Amino acid sequence: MSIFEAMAAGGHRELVFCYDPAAGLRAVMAVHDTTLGPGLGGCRMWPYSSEEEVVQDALRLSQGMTAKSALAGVNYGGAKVVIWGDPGRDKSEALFRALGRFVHTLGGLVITGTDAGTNPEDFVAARWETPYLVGLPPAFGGSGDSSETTAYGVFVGIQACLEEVYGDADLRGRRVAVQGCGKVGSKLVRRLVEAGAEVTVTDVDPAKARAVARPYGLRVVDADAIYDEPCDVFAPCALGGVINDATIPRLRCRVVAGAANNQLEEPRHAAALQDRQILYAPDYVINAGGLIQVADELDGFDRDRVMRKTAAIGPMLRAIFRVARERSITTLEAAEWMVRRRLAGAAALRTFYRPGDGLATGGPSDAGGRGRS
Amino acid sequence: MVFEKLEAMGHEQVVFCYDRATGLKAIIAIHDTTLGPALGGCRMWPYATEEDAIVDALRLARGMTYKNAAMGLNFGGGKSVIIGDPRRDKSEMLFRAFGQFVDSLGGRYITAEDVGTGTEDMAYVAMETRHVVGLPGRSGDPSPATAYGVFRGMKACLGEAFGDESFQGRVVAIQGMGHVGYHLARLLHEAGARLVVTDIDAQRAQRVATEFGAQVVEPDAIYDVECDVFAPCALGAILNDQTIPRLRCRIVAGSANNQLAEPRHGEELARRGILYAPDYVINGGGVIHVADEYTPGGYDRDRAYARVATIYDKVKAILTMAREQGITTAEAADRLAEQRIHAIAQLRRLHMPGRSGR
Repeated sequence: MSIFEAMAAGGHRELVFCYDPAAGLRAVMAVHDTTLGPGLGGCRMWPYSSEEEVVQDALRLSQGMTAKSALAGVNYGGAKVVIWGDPGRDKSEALFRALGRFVHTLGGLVITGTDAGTNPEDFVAARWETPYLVGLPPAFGGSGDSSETTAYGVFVGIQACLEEVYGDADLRGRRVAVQGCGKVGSKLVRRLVEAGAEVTVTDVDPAKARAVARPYGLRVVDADAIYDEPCDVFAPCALGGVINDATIPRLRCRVVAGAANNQLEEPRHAAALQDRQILYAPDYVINAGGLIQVADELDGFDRDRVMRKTAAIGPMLRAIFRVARERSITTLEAAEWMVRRRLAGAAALRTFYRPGDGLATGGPSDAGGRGRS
Repeated sequence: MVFEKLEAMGHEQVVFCYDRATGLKAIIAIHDTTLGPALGGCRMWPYATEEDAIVDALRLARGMTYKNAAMGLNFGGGKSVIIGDPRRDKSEMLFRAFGQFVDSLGGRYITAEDVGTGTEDMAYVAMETRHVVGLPGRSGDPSPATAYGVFRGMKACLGEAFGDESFQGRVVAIQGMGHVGYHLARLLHEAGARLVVTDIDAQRAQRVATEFGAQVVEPDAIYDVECDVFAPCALGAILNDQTIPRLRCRIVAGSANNQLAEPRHGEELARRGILYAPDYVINGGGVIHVADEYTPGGYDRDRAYARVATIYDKVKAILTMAREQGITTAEAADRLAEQRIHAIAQLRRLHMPGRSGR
């Protein structure tokens, strides 16, 4: 597929190839939709095997960010930055400063930060070149680790799911199977236990699972056994693609709601879950806490405000579930419908002229055009 | 693959722009911004493939780096292409959408009219961005300035070839009577030159015959005209294996872009004792003229033309360097441009308080 065909298929606006041989930088910045505001999306670094993969990943991920921001209630569009390189070998001050300069070429249309393969420290030097960065280490003005916020968002999301399924959000006595005891998973476990849930945990690293389980005396199961665990909620908090043809028939839960990205191997697996009467909380909605936190940096970070905004993930999921019920569609389709509705609403607002919105001048009969000021 | 091309030609950045509502497909190529923001026109053309459009944008952007450097401007090289048929696909919204993409680069790329686009189209672009030059009411049509630059450069060539810079009695054969060709014919006529002209549009050639007493020949016959100067002011690649043996001139100096079919044709001209004025140097009057809009206080016609006049000195420096170093004039032009870019890159190492980053 040609680049323009791919952009037309996804509705992307802008795809920027960035090359700086002195810094060893090859990067692509993708801007999907900017109806809500500048494109916000992390910067991934990965040793892709071809340019086509770089482009596909940038386009796919930026499109995902449009939807994520739209339903997280933040006023940002969708973008993503992808560095073509090996994060273990190719990082340097020059590389990230060059990246910072390229980010700056778009004058704030793209705001980026850490993602797979990059960490907050990488962007400290990039900050010298551009202010359009978020998620720096706290000592450099960033809000720091966002896993607590993400875990909180997943927690309130699980409550919304329970209310939808059982008419009662109370976690006392509810069984939750948590897959993955990393930064977010471990914090989610703590919140669930404190709320009275019976939690079962697993991790590909058994030591990690035991460390999380021990203080609360939780049950630990083998990594693969988590799918068979009878429970109310299955919470994937590790890898993507875990909801697939092989795992769906094994699930013995009423709800899938977790922090992992791209939980569904394919979109059709949303329908497969629905067929089994399992309620699916769309991953990009329930795990948006981290995005809400870094977006808040652009307004001057305030932790209390971030937690309040993150709590809104609950009502958002309830709205999605209602749309899904009323329209007899999957929760994934309902979320997409909500995205389109928010974007259309924001676009319609622009048709109303406010003082200060600027004049578009110039034109064939007017010699003095100077853009929108 | 895009990155391979960027690497091969030394580009910094290429931006693919798509607008679903208007169907706009545009590519903005930025080659080198050592000297300043990339300045280069916007071409509209019904490219057969996306690949053709990418290659054209990259090639043209690179040419602008050299041209802007050679003209002594503080602008880097860039170019944009819109994939579409200029006769069918133009609309207000298309150019306004394009203007928004230009604006998204915040002035790192400055656009202007080019093949397939005109000042009216740029007026729509200007509704969405400040980063466009050559609008009606400001510097406007650049053709007379380009023609004047060619005239000045040709004068330097006459001095080099004949030891006499006067146009009086010189025979100049002009290929192409478009905007630039027409204005060049006028300047040459006023300076006392004898003109032989051609155009694929016979009416345009006839107008020049009537107004300036030019002799008109058939389009293909222009290569065989016995003359002092052959001035290609139409198509590119007209200096090739077929035409060079036919030339009966001492000088090739005209406004057309990419006159040499291949770099080796520059050597072929030199071997035959024909002095070649590198195209991107002698036709740089237009860009000097629009760049004047960026002078504090805005465009000033007298100053712009005074700057265009310096093409005489630029051509002379190139001819001297070529003679002294035994290289072709095209090579000399490239070297001078590269030297200037390199020198300014070194200047940037000095921290200037109050100036961020540059």
